[in-house]
Amino acid sequence: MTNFKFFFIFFLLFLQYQATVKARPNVGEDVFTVSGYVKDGATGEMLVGASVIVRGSGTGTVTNVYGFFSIELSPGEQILQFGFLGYQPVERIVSQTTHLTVEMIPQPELLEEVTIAGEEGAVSVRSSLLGLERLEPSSIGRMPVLMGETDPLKAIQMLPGVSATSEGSSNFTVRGGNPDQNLLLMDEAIVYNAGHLLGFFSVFNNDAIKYVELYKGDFPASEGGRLSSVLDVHTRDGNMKQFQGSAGIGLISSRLNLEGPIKKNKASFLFTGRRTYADLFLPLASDEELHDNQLYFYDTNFKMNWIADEKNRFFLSAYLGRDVFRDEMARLNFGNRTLSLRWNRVFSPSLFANFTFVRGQYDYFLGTSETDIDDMEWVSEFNDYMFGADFSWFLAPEKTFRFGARSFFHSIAPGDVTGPDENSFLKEVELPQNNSLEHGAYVSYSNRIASWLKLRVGLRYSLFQNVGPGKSFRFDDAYEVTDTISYSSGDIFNSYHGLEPRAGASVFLSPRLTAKISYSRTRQYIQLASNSTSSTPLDVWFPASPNVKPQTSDQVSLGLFGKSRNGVFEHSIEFFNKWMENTIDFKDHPDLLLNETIEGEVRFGKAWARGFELMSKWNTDRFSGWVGYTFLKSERVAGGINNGKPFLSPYDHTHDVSVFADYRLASRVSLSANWVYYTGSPVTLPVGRFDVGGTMVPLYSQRNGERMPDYHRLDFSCIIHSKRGKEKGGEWVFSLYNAYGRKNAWAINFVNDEEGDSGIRAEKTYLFSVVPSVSYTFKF
Amino acid sequence: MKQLVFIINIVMAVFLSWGCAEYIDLDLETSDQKLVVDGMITSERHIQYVRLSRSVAFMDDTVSPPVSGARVLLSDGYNVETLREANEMAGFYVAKNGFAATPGNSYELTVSEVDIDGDGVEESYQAISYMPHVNKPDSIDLLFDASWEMWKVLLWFNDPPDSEDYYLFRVLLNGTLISERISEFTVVSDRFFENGRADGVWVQSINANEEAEPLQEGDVVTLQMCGITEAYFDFVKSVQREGRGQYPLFSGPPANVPGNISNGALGFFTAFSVSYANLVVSAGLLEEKNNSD
Repeated sequence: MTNFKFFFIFFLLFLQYQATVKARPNVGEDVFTVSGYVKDGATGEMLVGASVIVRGSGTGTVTNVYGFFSIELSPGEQILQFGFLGYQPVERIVSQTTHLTVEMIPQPELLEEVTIAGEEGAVSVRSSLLGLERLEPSSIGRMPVLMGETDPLKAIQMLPGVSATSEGSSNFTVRGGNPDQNLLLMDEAIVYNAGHLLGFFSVFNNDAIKYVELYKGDFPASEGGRLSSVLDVHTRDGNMKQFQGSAGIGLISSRLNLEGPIKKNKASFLFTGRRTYADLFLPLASDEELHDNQLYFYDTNFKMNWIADEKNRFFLSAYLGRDVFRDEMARLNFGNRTLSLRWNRVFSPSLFANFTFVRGQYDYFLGTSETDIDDMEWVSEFNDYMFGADFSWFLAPEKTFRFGARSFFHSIAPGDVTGPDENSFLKEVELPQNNSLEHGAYVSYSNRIASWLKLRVGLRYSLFQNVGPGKSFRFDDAYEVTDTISYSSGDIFNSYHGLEPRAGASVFLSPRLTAKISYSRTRQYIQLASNSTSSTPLDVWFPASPNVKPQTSDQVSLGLFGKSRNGVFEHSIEFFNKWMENTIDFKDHPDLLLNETIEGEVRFGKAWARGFELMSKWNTDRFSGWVGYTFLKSERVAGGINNGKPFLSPYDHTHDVSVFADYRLASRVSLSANWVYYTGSPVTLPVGRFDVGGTMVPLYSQRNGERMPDYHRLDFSCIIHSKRGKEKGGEWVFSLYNAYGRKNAWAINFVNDEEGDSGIRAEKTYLFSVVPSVSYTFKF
Repeated sequence: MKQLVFIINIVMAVFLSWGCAEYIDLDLETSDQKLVVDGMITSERHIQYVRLSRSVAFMDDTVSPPVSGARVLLSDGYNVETLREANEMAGFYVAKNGFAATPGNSYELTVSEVDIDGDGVEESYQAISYMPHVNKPDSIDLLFDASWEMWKVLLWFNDPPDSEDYYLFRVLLNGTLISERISEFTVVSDRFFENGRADGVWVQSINANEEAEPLQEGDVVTLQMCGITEAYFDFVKSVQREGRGQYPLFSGPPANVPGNISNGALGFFTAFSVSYANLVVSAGLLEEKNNSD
């Protein structure tokens, strides 16, 4: 490790030297810096990833996540070309240090293919990150989905290397990893449970989204804390120019979106909300017992942003969502709340900073009906606080230095079960709260050191601390508690820390062909106590501790990215190999709920995943889409599980194909189709049975040794716009989920044959056959 | 934690009402035949027996074939008792009349002179179980639960404070065991009782739905409370969990239940002590039920 550090620092110094010698021949002359924002001229929405090219030089930059850019230019008059897909290019002449606000006008529809100015340049300035995928709400909205509920997480599952954890679920696995190894961020707030209605729908409302990015392993140095992926969801800022809105009604939910300026070009707001309403019809049901039942979810996003001046900008984003279920026997409700405050500050034309404060909460409540004397109420709460500061220092075109730090305070109350009735017989069970601090500091540097080579190096240092009040347990070899140690408030009783190096290189083999290689290490300090493949609301997160070491992952990827001459096709192939240590698994038949000594159920191990991903995208005026293919082998070994032998990850899908195609049939009508295929998920099936105590007991040979039937499914959708065009007026979406009615197995169980008498038969449970749906959205 | 299981089942039922089930053909592999031991030795002067059988292919529609002709010995470290196979019930090995085990002792079961794997060489299997003590319950009571259509059996009991204890509860109605199967057992750890005291804790249930025979005035309800080992507690828990079905929602991967028989045999040999509390069903109790219906 020490060698590695030494090498790394040496490497950094070398780069700096290179940069000083080569890239700045004009030191001492009047170099000047142009910085500013690029936005949509119609709505004032900041454009993220717009290219800024210096005409004639082949160099340039792109706008960051806040639409900010900064570029250092050599003396004299220069022409900057601004480009963004779907917008008319803009040129500006600059000759001295200035702040620019560039407004770009969206391309009128149905124009023939237009070459975007500086596109060749834009390709070459693309980041050197591997395995980065980006989706916009417009393409997410075109994908056919279950019950017409547009869902960014379902769209993500169409990308290579990503698939649903189980049928219909918005929960996803990346390269065979566990779902809790994905970091889900919404405006920089961590979302700990992204599922509504037992995971069939996600908490991310497409109406509120600006774009979604998924990093599949080569994380930016600023992010860490998870092994598999970072899903970064950015919400829109809201229209700065005029009020607008939309209202939608679908099979299960209705939606409302309102946005507009608070002060034109200075401040705006955005509100989106949706609620399912199946239960609103319950009072009409013939069965009177159903009248008081409840089953719904809602979520709301609220965002405000204020441009105080050229140098200061403020954002406030809030999310509130909840699921409510109630019948005569039980009550269940759960949901997330997040609040993020961000302050963008331009310290100098080349130094951009963002300060963030986040408050997040996930909680659930579970109870029996209120009438019983032995009524039970169970509450659990996860509170999260984060403060962060991120700086970008734009040294020269394509040479950026980033650094920053963030600190989290996690406070988890895993469960408190009470009988609210005074005469309750129930014993109160309260699991002790656990608190922890998680810090990360990073530096990263990227530079195009030659016309054909761009390098990116990053180093993240993370520190994790368990903070009292709390309890920790000592376990013997049989995982029995031998000692309990209590800590008083504020005690830091355990720490872990480590370096997380990241590095990548892009080699521009030709203007249309790029090779990329990257290495990335991450550490995960907090994990979900779950061994099921479906998401449930009853999440128990538990942190690293004296007994639980942090999980680590090292991943190497190598990829080749190509583009056809006319820009219609883009192809990529990416190989990856990933090694993980101290991975978490659970013993056979673990007790994960309301268990104070949950750490005694954990078995530590190793995991590894390797494979490759192919992706071909095409994009013409009428016809666009992609074909993705993944080959994956993802294995684990843990404690005494499976007699200590390696077993497959429950998400090991050897072959995974996803096809998405979108065809514009007429000016107002477009058709889309999805097709998904993957090798059946590994399962454990019995190899025998025996009888004890009058009960049949199955006998198994090895964990995940068999597979479910292969999964495949075809979906269609058809979108029809009203005559008033895409921006205003109505839009009908018809969709057909599982068009050929494939009965994909969700679970396999064994039952006694009720008709014949052939003994035990295998029975599959499938959730959805053909599901048609329709929704209507009106924009105003 | 019974409530928890109930709630999970309810949530799952709502969930599954979306789903449909269909038979599929599945080729399962079959493991080699294994010896299955199902043995319970109690502190009572009752018929004590151990049942021996073989494991079968999972989809097999036959009952587990009994293992006959084995030599079955039970030892408490001083005395060795031979269990003899019952004439009319193959595979059942019975202790001589009046044999009762004593709490505080450990019992070793030895099964030999059997050839399960059919290689012509006889195998031998062992299992050891300690027999824990059990205190007598103070009293029990019944409470009707209308929404779950059952009588809840409530327990009053003082748990010895210094030891870590595990209990098994079964119900007898007019002297007949009605919670016969492992799936109907209740097992708890003493952590279940607050400060070592059970004040009306719900420990067992009597079905009161339409299919069940209703309780009559004068019926005697008996709660059997047994002191069991932690290993047997884990075994019962695992068997119950395996019986609940596999759904991705709440269950993790299925796994073998942890037995205590050596040499790769399946099943469990347990020794447990027994105590009882009775209740005679009164007219008032039945009236309470009718009022709550």
